[in-house]
Amino acid sequence: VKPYGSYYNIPIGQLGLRLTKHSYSLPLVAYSFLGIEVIAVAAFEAKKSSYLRWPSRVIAYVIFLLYFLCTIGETLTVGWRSKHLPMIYEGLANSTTTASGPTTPPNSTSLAVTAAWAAGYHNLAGFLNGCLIFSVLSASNTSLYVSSRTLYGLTREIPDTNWLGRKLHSLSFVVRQTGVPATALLFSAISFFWLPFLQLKAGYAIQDVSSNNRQNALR
Amino acid sequence: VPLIFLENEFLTKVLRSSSLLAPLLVAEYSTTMEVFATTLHAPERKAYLRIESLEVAGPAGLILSVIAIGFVAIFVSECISELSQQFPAPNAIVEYVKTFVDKDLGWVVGIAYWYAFASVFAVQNLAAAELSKYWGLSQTFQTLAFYGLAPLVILTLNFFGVYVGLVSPISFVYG
Repeated sequence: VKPYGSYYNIPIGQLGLRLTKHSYSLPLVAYSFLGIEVIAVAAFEAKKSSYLRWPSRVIAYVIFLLYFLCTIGETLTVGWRSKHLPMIYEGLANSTTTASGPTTPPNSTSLAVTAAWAAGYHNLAGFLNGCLIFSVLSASNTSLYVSSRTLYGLTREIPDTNWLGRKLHSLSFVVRQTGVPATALLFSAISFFWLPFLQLKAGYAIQDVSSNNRQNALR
Repeated sequence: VPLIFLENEFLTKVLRSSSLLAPLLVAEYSTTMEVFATTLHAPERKAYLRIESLEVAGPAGLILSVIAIGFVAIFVSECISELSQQFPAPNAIVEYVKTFVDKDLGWVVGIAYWYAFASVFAVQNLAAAELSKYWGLSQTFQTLAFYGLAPLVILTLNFFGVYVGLVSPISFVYG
């Protein structure tokens, strides 16, 4: 691992800088393992909990093996100073006016797509991108499922002795026919529905905060 | 789990609670990092701050990170699978903390867990919109398809409940 010093201009030792970078990459990687414990949330709704015995035991090993092999493949194919690697949290901090994605094809910041393109499989890159979109939407589906069940479990136990308690308790309403905690589901979906729309207004919400924060940091 | 842990009630408690809290901490930490990283850096410096795990840590660092977090994930998953087979319960993550650790901590964990996953729901839709740029999808269609339509479709699908079939709300594919 080569050290390089252009990331932060802070005068700390080279070793410290490298360690800082490595520890900074840990949460980024951890984000991809998010949801490994979801099986505990789903276990109660399985037809028979014994059906989940084998999958719940194996899933982490399978995911780890897949990620490990993918990572090796991707690091061998994509240079670590590649222009295609995304800017800092582009998905959130990006706006329509300051968007300056990679100028050479493929127009993607995903490692898998870039790797397939770099290896010469241009059709495969498009296919992989489709797969990624599907899996991301599937993951967002799972997130909604988990958050609705968690909210249901929390609000179910709130005593409805006063006004606030009654309001919160009503979030645990379950539709009898489907067994779905409908109110909790709706509440979970709406509570962050507005978040993606923030980045439409350039230089307004996120970037205002970011420049303020930087000025505070410089002081 | 070594036998000594099983014999000692306190150690078993600590072990169980730490295994339950680890995914929550990881989830919370990474969503916080995401927001933190967005607010930390000014847009004009973005060109110098290209950050993907690969670019921050380098190839070897990335592989080491995957191994380190992978081991944590495996430990968590082992404990979770044991517990969920032994004590199947609705809202398991919160109930386990309430039962084995502390009732009040259970509330904290529950609220943090809901917050993490409810916000990840929005962030994932944003990520899907970002990926669709590959085909040159304009911002208007991105907004319509992934900020508006996708959450609505997913919400509708979820209203039908869990069943075995083509579309199942449970999936372990995380991008």
